[in-house]
Amino acid sequence: MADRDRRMEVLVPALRRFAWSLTRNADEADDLVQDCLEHALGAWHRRHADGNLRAWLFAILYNLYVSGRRRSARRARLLEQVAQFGEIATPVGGADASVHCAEVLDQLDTLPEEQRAVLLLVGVEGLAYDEAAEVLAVPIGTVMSRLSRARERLRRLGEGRPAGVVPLRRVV
Amino acid sequence: MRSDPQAPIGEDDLHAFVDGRLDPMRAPAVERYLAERPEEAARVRAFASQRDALRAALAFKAVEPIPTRLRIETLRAARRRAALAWGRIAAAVVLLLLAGAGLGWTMRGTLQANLVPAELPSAPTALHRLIAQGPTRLEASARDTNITGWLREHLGEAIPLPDLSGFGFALEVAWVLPAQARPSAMLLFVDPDGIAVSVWRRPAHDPVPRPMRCADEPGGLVTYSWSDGRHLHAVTAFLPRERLRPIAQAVERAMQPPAPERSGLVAGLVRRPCDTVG
Repeated sequence: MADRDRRMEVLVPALRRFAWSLTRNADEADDLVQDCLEHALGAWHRRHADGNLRAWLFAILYNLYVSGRRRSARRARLLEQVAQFGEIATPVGGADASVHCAEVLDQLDTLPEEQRAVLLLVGVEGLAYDEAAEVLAVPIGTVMSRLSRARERLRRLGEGRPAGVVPLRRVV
Repeated sequence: MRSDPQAPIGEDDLHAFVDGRLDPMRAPAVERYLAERPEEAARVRAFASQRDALRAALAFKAVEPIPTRLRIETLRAARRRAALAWGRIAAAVVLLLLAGAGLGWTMRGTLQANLVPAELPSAPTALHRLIAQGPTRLEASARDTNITGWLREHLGEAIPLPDLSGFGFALEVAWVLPAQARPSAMLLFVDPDGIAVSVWRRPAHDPVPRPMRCADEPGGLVTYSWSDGRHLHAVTAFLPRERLRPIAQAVERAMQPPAPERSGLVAGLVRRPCDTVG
């Protein structure tokens, strides 16, 4: 029992990051993680004993997010927050880094929902393609094509700038 | 991922290359391909730097300390509290059902005549007390009480406590519900997921054993009940039959009277499998 709790808790930081990158709001993200964990504790006996715990938890979180997001109120709040997230995303590095971070997240927002999720799961959370397929309940080929489209789209958005170089200087 | 070194390079190879998930057999072919095509190599570098930028932008979240409310221990404690509050309601529901349905038996005739009139009015009374007064001297928490001793003291007889740890359930609370000369006992077991199973037991007035039977109540409440000729028992939970049945059977085994009491003629005759709806 303690082992099962420990295995779950180890994944909480990654779940919070994924939730935050989806909702872009600290409280909403933690609410989502809490819902996810509560759901997981209650549904533990329905889990496949040899299944992938990480993929299972991410799937619960993502499904909760998608179903919650259908509610229009939340969506309205989300749009409001797009204006603020530049400030939220500043804790690492200096001003240049934060401008760049905000820009990356900004570009991420232009992706269709399902491409965004694939990019986050594979690129940020480090899930294998088959794990991402399990989380999103789609075939692995769909994961690959969404990943490909997402990356290509972001690349075109960032075109004209040398890769890896901070593109903007903030003039204060 | 594809492992045939001869297959033509595909978009999926390039992404697997970026993600470090390329099959080792495939790597030399992809590297050669990229070395010969600077434009493709630039694309792949752009993908990788995108990913790095995203990781950097989101890294702060993964290194933040976890809020207390997301600790599994916190969530479990909340579930236990909810289960207990809920368990009290479930216990009340069980008593009402037992009182209303002639202790769960739908058999007509002597049994019902025996059980219903004289003794049951006290159950709702006890129930009322249970709900209205909240924790009373008739409630004992398994955490800080020797339940066996406490029950013996209040029931006037020892009661074998079932061990349900094999199913993940631990005894949490016990109640004694005074009913004239023959009080009944209610045990509430809770599992780490916050599911509650209640076990109710009361001395039988009818010495004829009754086989275990199952009743589904609206709302998903399932009750297995039986009599061993000395006590009436009911095991109740919001659980599917197939999950509750082995638990009820374990309770039945644990609460069986000593062997000599079971050697009567009727004991063997009335026992039958409990898979049919009554």
